[in-house]
Amino acid sequence: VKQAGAIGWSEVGSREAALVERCAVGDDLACAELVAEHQRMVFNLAVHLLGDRDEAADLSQEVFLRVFRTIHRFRGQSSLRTWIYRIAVNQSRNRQRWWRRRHRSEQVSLDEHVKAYGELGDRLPQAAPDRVLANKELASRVWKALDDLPFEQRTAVVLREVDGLSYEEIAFTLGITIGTVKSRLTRARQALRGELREWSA
Amino acid sequence: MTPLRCAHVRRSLSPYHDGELPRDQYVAVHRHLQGCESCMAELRGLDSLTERVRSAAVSRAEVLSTDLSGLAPGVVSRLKAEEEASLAGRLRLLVDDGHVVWAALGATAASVLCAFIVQGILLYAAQVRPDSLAALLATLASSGTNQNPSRVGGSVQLPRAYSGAVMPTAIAYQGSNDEGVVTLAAVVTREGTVSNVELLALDEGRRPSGDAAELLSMLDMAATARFEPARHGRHPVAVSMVWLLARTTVRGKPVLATNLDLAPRRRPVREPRGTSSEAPSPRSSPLGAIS
Repeated sequence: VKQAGAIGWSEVGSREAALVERCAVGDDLACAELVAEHQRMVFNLAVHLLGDRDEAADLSQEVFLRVFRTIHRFRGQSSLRTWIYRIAVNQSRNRQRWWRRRHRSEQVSLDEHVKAYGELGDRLPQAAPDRVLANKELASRVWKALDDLPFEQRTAVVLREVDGLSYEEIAFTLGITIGTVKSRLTRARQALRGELREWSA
Repeated sequence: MTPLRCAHVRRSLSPYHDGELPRDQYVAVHRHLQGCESCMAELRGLDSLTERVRSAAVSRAEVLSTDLSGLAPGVVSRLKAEEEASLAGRLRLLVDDGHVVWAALGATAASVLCAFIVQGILLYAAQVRPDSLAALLATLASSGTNQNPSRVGGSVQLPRAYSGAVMPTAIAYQGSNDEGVVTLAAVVTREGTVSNVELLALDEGRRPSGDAAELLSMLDMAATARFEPARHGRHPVAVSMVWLLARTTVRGKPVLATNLDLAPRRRPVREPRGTSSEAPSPRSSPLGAIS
């Protein structure tokens, strides 16, 4: 029943353990390998949580620095992936608070930017323009609705729907119980559906 | 299907949709959904939401495909930089940082200055007025004090009996008529008093016929004597001395009987003298030997 991406608590492979071990003693190659393996996942999560490419890239670097500073404390209590998720979410939470405070008035979300100036890189879409436009419109609505959610609910939805984490992994990532994950996801979905239904109507 | 049952199912729909329900609940909800159109519609709404969110994520593909090849080298170099900054880097920084060097030099200069100031204060404080307490203490600490009697040298004027000197009228063995010499060690203080009186020895070959109590009383009497103190230059100094008490008996003659004071009474007269081992004079005369 579990999603394909779900990894059990005690399933940290020996290869991963060896990689962590090498990173802990400061092996540059191992560190580069770990970053290359997880950078896409961290960056994507940061983009979805912060909605800004540069912010996400900056945060990704902070996340990996934090990972290597604290990797000696990693004892396989979760998969390495979930552990990195947890750090990424914590860093995003801090960043998002700071960012919201500093740029509340001048913040332009990525999707608004895309809507106003076209896709970054000015690549023309290949599909039929109307359909693409409608999809973009829908996507920006979805992100708008997600942005309106509290950070914790938005993170739970992204981790579940986009990253496909199990409830157990979400619980570890957010530092909450599985019961709280259930109720948080239920509430977030109700809010999202309400928001999107309003828009559809 | 009762509405309550539906309400219960609605609460479980989200985890059902995610496949996170325990098996028995999953089966129960599944059965309910087979016959409940509204709950099924609710579930489809959740499916559709998932679909929308996923496609919204895909719509960011352009952003998500940002080239991240610079991330790993950036992280590694920052890690190295941090490591350097934490160990040897900090030490190097101490030397490189001019502020620290100036601070160190300033601190050193201040320490040296403090040392000079302290030295100066100590030197200045040593030049004290002669009537100050410090000068008094310094004089007391030097040789010639009552606590530290000086040795007799060429320039020391010896203690003398003078007109105002107090001499005990009777230092004598009451129980014996024998002549003899008693040797005492004593200190004549700056004030002219006698202290630290000790019985050194009795005259060779003559046993004192008086008992111990009489000797002690003689010592007590000797301790009450007053002298003109010894002087070094103009300053009185304390000196140690050996005091020879010689007792002689003067036999009276009829011619002299008119002077009752010179009657055959044993009356030692004390006069400490500057030389030791001087032979006892025929008259009763204490001999002072200053050591």
